[in-house]
Amino acid sequence: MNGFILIAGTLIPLIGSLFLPLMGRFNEKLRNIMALIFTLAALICAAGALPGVLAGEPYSIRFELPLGLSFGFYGDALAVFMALTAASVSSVIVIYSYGYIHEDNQNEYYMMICLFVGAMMGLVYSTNLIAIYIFWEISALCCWRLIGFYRTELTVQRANKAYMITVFGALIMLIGFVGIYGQTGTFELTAMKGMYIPAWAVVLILFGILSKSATYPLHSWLPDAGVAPSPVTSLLHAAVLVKIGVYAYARFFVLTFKIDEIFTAAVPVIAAISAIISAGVAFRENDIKRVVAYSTISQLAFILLGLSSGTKIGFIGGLLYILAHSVAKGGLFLCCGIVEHTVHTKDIRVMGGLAKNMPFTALAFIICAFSVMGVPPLAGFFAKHLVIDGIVETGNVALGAVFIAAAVMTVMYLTRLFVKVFLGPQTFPDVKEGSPVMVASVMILAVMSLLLGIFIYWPSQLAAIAWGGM
Amino acid sequence: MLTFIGELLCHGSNLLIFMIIFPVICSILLLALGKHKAFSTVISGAFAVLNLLFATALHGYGEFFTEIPYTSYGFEFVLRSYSLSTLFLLLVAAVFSLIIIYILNAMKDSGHRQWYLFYMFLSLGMINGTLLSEDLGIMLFFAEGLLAVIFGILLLGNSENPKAATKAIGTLGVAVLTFMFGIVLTVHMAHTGLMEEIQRLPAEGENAAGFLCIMIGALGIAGLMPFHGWTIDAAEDSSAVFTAAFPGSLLKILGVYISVRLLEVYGLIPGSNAATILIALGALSLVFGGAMALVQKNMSRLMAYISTSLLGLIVLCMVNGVSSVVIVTVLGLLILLNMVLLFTGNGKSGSEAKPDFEETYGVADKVRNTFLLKGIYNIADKGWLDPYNWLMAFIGVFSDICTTIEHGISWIYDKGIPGLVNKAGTVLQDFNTGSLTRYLSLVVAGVFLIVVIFLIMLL
Repeated sequence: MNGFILIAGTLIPLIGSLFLPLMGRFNEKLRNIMALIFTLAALICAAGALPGVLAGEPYSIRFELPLGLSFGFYGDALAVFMALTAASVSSVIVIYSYGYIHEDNQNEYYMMICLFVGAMMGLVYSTNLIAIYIFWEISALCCWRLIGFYRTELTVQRANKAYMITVFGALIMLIGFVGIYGQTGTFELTAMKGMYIPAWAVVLILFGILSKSATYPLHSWLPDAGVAPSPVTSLLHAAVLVKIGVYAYARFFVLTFKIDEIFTAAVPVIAAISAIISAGVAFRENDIKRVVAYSTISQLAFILLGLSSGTKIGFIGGLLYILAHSVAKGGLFLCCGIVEHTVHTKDIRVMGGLAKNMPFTALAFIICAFSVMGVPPLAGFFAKHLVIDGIVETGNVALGAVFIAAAVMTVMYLTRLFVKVFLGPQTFPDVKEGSPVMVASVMILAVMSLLLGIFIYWPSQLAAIAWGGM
Repeated sequence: MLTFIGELLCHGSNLLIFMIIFPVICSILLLALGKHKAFSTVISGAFAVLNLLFATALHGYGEFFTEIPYTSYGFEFVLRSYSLSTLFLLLVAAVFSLIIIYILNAMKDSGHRQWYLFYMFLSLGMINGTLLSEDLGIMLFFAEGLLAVIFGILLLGNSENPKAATKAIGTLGVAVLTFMFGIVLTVHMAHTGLMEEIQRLPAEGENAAGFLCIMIGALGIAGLMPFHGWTIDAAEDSSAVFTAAFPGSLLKILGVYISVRLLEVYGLIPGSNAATILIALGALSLVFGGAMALVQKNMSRLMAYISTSLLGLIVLCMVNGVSSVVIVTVLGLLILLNMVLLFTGNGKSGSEAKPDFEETYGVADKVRNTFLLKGIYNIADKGWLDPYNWLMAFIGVFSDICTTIEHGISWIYDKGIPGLVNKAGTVLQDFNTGSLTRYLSLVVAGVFLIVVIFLIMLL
C-alpha cells in the first residue's frame, strides 16, 4: 500500500500532463490550476514517503514482468530528498509561469513542465536501470521542446544542441548499462548493491552523468539554453534537470556500485576544472542569464566534488548543496526573468539602478545570490563548508584550495552582476516592479533559502540517513 | 522541541544564547516598527543596556557552557564563556552602547536611522555569537554573516555609488574564505572543531598552512594588510558612524579576539616560517598605515590608516608573545580614538570630514612632497599599492584565459562537429557515385574500425 504513494507521485504529473492540452482548449485557468495541482501532488507524495524513511523502512513496490524482468520503485532517503527538492521548486516555478508565459503555445508548455516533473519523480524512485534510462530520455525530450519554446531559428538550434549533447551522453550511458547487465545478469540496482563494476562501464556511465550535469567538457549546451523562457531555464537548467546527473552519480557510484579508486581521484579533478573555468567565464559574461548559467556549471562542480569525495561529510554536503542550489539558483533565474521581462534586454552593460524601481526583485536576488556565495545564515553556507571539508578529509588539500578559489570567484561575479543590474545610476527610470505573481514566486524562493539555512538540521539529518543507501 | 525551550528558559548558562537571540529579535522589531521614533529609541536603548548588563554579568560569573542540538551535521553549536571571551564581550557591549547613543542622537532626523539600527543590532548578535562560539565552524558562521550586514549598511544612501560596498564584500569575501580554509585544515589535523578539545597543534610543517590561513583570514576580517583597502574607501564613501563602528572598532575587536584564541589552539614557534609571515604582515601594516596616515587630509581616511597601523602593532605584540594586557590596551586606545573622533566630529559623512589641524599646519603636503617619498605617494595615489586592484587585475587576466578556452570548446560544438558531420556526409555522397573499389575500401575501413573498438573493449 505504501509503495503506491511513490507510483502516485510519478503517475499523477506524468499522466495528468497529457490532459492539460485538452483542458487548455476549453479553459486556460483550469489548465494552469491543474498544472499546479499535479506538481503539488508530486510534492505531497514525496512528503508522504518521509515517514517510511524516518522509520528506517522506506516504501517500495515491485512488479515482476515477463522474460525475467522486473520494475520497482524505492523511496529511500536519497530518492525522497531529491523528490522533495525537485517538486517544491517546480511548484513555485509553475506559479511564476502564470505571470511570465503569455505566448500561444501555453498548452504544450504546461504539458511539458508536468511531464518533466513526472519523469523526474520516476527517475529518482526507479530501481531499474532501463526505467531510469527511459525517464532520463523523457526529461531530455521535455527539455528539447521547452528550450525551443519560442520557435525561432536560434532557439530551435540551441534546443537541438542541448538535446543532442544530452542524448549522446545518455546513449553512451545505456551501453554502460547493457555492459553491467552482461556482467551481473540484472538491471535491478537493489540486487547489485556492493558489486564491483569495471572501469570501462564507469567511464561510459560518466558520459551520461557529465553531459546531463553540464560538467566540462560536455557543458556547452547549458549557457546556450538561456534562450528559453526564464521559468524553463530555472526549472531545467538550475533547479531540476541538471541535478539528474549528480543524483545518478550518488545513486550509482556512492550508494550502489563499487568502483576503482582512480575515479575518486579523477572525478574531483574534472569537477575542479569545471568549477574554476566556468567561474572565470562568468566573470567576463555580459548576458545576465549566461552569467547565472556559468555559475550553475561552477556550482554543479561543487556538488560533484562533495558526492565524489567518498566521505560521509562530503556526501551530506553534496546533497545539501543540491537542495540549497536548486532553491537559490532557481530564484536567481526567475529574478533574471523579471528583469528581462521589464527592461527587454539581457545585456547587463546597459542596465543599472534597477533596485529603486524593483526593490523586491533586488532583495530576492541578493538573498539568493548570498546563498550561492555561501553567506550564512543561508543554506549555501553549510553546504559549501561541508563539501570542502569532505575533500580535505581525503587529504586532497590542493583541490580544496582550488575550490576555495572558485568560491572567491563566485563572490566576485555574483557581486558584479548584482551591482551592474541593480545598483549604480538608473538607466531605466520608467520600469516598474514585476507582476505580483512573479515577485511572490521569487520571494518564496528567497525565504526558502533563508529558512533552509536556519532549520538546516532537518535536511542534514535526511541527508545523513541517505548515506546508508538502498 | 518544547522541552528544549522550557529548559532553555530555566538554565542560567542559556544567557549565552540570549546574547545572540535578543539582538536579532531587536533588529527584527526595529525593522518592522522602527519608523516610530519613540518606539525605536526605547527599544534600542533598552536592548543596548540589556546587552551591557548581560555582558557584565557573564564577565563576573566565571565559565558557562551550553549547546544547541539543532544544527547541521558536521557542526557543533557549542557556546562557551570564559575570562577572555567575556572581556571582549564587555568591550563590544560598551562600544555598541556608545554607537547606539550616537545614532539615536545624531541621526534623529535621518531617513536611514531605522535601517542603521536594524543592521547594528543584527551585527551585534553575530559578533556576540563569534565571541561565544567554541566550535570553529560556528565561529565562522557568525563571522561570515557580517559580510551581508556590511554590504547592506554600506549601500544605505549610497546605491548610486556602490564602489565601497563592492570592494568590501570582495575583500572580506577573500578574508572569510581564507579563514574557512584554515578552519577546514585545522579540523582535519585536530579531528575536532571544538577549540577546547584541540591539543596544542604546532604551527609548523603540515599544520603551518592551516595556521596561516586561519590567522590571515581572521586578521583580514579586522583589516590587516593586504585586506585593508576597503576600510579606506569605506571611510571616504560611508558615514562616520559606520567607519567608527565597524572597521574602526567592532571588526578589530573580533579579529584580535579570534587571533588570540587561535594562538591558544596553535603553538606558534618563534622564528618559524609562519611567525615570520605574520611579523612581516604586522610590520607592513604598521609602517604603511602610519606612512599613509601622515598624508591624509580627510579625517575618516586618516583614522582608517591609523587603525590599520595600530592593528599591525597589535599583531607584532601577539606574535612576539607580549602580554595580553598590552594587546588589550592598544586595542582599547584604538577604539577610544575612533569613539572620541566620532563624538567630537562634525557628524558629516566620511568624505566631508576634515582634520582642522591640516588647515593650520599643512602637514600632509609637507610630508607628501618630501624627497624620495613623493614617488611612493604618487604610486599609492594611483592605486598601484592596493592589493585589491592586483587581485582584480589577476582575476581579469584569468577570466580572459578561461573565456578563450570556452570559445574553443564552443567552436567544437557549434562549428567543429557539425562541420565534420557535413564533411563526412559529402565524402559518403562522393563514394555513392563511385566505383566498386571505393565501396570495398569503405567496407574494409568499417570492419577495421569495429575490430579496433572490440580489441579496446576486450583490453
